[in-house]
Amino acid sequence: MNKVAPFICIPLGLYWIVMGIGKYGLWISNGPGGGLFPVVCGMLLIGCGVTLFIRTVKAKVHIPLDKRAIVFVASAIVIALSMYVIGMIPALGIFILCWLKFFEKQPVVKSAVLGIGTAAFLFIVFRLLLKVPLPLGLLG
Amino acid sequence: MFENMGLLFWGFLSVFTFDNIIACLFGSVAGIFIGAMPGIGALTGVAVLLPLTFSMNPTTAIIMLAALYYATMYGGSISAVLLNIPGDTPAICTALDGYKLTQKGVPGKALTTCFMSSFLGGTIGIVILTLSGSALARVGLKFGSPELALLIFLAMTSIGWLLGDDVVSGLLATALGLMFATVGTDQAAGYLRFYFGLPNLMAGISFVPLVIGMFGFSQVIELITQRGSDERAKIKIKLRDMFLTWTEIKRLLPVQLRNGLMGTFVGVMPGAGGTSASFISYIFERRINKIGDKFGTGVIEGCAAPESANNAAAAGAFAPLLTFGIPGSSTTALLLGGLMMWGLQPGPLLFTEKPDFVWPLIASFYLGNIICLIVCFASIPLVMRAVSVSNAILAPVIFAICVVAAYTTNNSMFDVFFMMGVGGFSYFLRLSKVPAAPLLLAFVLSPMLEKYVRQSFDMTRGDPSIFIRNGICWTFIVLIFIFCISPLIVKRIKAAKKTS
Amino acid sequence: MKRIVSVSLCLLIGVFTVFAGGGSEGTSAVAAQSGPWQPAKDIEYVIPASPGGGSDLWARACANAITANKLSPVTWVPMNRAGGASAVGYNYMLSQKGNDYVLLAGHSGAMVSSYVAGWQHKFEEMVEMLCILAFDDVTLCTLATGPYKDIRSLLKAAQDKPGTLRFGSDQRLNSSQYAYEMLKKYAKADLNYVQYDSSGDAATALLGGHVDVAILNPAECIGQVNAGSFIPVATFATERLGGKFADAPTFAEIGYPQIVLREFRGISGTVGMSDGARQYYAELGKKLLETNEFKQYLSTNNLTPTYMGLGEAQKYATAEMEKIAALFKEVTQK
Repeated sequence: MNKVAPFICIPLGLYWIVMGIGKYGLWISNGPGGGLFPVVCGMLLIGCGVTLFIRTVKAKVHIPLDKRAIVFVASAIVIALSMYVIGMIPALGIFILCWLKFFEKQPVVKSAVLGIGTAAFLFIVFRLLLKVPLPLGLLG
Repeated sequence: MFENMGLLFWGFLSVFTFDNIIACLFGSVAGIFIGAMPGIGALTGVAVLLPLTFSMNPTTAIIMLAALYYATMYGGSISAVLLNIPGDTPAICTALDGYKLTQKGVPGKALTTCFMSSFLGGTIGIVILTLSGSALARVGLKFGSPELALLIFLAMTSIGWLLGDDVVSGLLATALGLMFATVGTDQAAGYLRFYFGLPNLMAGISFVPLVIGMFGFSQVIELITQRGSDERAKIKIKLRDMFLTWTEIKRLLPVQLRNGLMGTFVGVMPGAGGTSASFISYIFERRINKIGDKFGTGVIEGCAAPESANNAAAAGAFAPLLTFGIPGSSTTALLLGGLMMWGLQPGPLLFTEKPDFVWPLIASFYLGNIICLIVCFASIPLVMRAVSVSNAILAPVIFAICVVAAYTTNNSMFDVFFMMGVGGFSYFLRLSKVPAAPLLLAFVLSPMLEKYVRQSFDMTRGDPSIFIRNGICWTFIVLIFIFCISPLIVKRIKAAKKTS
Repeated sequence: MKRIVSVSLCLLIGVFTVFAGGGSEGTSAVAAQSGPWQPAKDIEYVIPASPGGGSDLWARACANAITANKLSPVTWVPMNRAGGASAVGYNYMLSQKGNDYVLLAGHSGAMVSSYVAGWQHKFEEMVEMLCILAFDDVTLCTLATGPYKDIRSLLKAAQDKPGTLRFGSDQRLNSSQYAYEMLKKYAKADLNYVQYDSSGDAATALLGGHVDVAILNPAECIGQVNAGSFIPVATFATERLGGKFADAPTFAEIGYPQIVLREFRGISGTVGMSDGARQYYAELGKKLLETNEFKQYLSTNNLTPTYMGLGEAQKYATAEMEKIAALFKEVTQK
């Protein structure tokens, strides 16, 4: 992270400053313009980026990335996309079931109960009680 | 004042009808549940129940919705303490110390502290509302944009300590919070900033998906990676641990009283609600408490301050609503709409023309507050079992709740992806030991500062003398000055002591 | 573990089915018959604003009156899609192009924004105004304890000391700013525009004496007007309003006939909605105006009922917006 951070912070900070001064204005019609806070923010970002850059050059900080985290985030994205097809609640139920069964190696029955149970709980609370128009996917 | 007591007594007599008590009980229980569910808070709860109340007697209806409002302040702390996922935005500060206490193996103690503080804070707010609600609302009106700008600025100058051990990481977090806050319509000219052509960003980044991502989703990732070392399962939870010792209670009482007062006061301010109250009180308590530097490492004072403040604010927000018919927070704004739907005319005449509405409502606050306390204490043994559930199971289930909760904010899938993105991002921040608190503080407070400063300059066409227009302003300026230089003086004194 | 889960689930289901029973009648699917178009499933009534505001009240009042009088065989489900000064709601409508079952609570304020606030599309590219049902007229209010008790003294002060009086209002690039620019152009009243998040906040600021005058809809100030803390000094409508607002003159009466602003509300549909559906909803709007529930809502909120139907409503809205956009253009060019 520390290695990448400066390369993200500095361009972002620059963009915020350029837009702040150029487009939104520091001081317009007798008051602070829409650009004042972005410029402050951009300067902070650049400051932090530079310090972090110097620091990474000096000390080698290494942060291990967990494989499990990556697998989880990837499958979370897949499941979020699948909501457009099969709807939000079924997608989440299936996700819990599969995750527990195949990844955490839990017994089938336990996985199924938790998957279906959570889905039912969410459906009751959000759809029936709170009347949230949850995505139904192509089935709706 | 005595007149008020008489009216309150009369209010008590009329609140004890079957309908009202049931309404209060249902509102409290539903509020605790809604508060504990991540992502949905008082606003959603009231919005959903509001249409169901149109056929009810207005007094019964508002008793129920008001109970729901302050009960969410109780409920929000449950998931914040046990899972590090604030159930509602006012509970964000509670998570900072509350979850650390859970990791130390004393979740019961943290919950007891939260509930006790909620109760005391709420009671302080209600008593003040009863005795001097309208006077307080009048004081609140004195706070215009310049005064509020200085108040927020005062709070922000005290952020320094929140930056943590590593100042650069803390500043980075602050900068990111500022960055998120600048997305959306700007306060000066109404033009759109940094929205990258996405209509979902035109109003800015939604706070709730941001919080769910930063706490909920990143916590889930952490749970997933901790599989081998399932620390939490090892914690032996004893119910006995939930009780506070006498010394602890004595430590907490002044904190609760202070922040109860502070919270009531912030709740009365126009445009501020439980969230700002808990943030501001956490900042100030950290500043003045003797063990303030231990905040964030798991101290009960860190839970007590925001919890008493947010409950007090929920009560305080009713002062301007009932006195003038103006809302103190977004939830009370919704209740205001409700009043109109029930055929009442909110406004300065409500107190005099409809005492049979106002006083039973205030009386119901006392009742509801006690109901909440009892329900919460009774739920401690039950909810604490969540701690002993293994991470493997907890993680995907919480993930599912986070997804639905994020979607519910604006009924849009955009927020779901945004929540996941922020969650992944803040997991990296956690790994690199960048604290979350300054980010959220900057996100909440900086737009308010920007808005109030802009309004102040608008009022005078750029004349800055408006910031010294009255005694309130001067008080804040003196306080800002004291807060900024006091650490330097303390350092000097300490150094002088050492040399002598 | 399983036991806890199942026990708590059962409990929850038990508690909540009681309440769910009341609200979830489900979709009463009425099969489309031959003859005039009839809705066959529930209608999503989009509110492009947060709960509690004027548009929210409007949409819920519509839905309640429709249900109570069985005007429609299906339920109208109000749905808040707030954000971006209504842009999120309007863009949602755009994404539902041609859908007969999505409507929007139309309000002129958002349409102004679509013209002048840098939106990618103008409102008529995103929605069609099917019918206009009411005018939500704006008034200028001052504080009863303040120095300005009528519009003439207020305007005189603003003309004599330009840039000292504070004009409390909601977000810029909206109909409120249009009203402000008109005062500046035609009445030569140079006020300081102070932008608040909402009209409600502007009313609070007026009550606290932080602004000298605020621009408010009757519903936003009626409580204060009744209590005698606010004085409605003028209305932007073409005729005086009723009730407590009857003493507030129109701008034409005091010699500025150009200063007119009538905010309006109605029902909008998606672009490309089928002709049958468009006609159905426009007709339904007319029936809605005749229900007691809706009449009650209009009178408590001081809305002036009117009716403009299919075609007419859209034409009126577009013409109004072009007029407003022209003044904004003039102002920004200076």
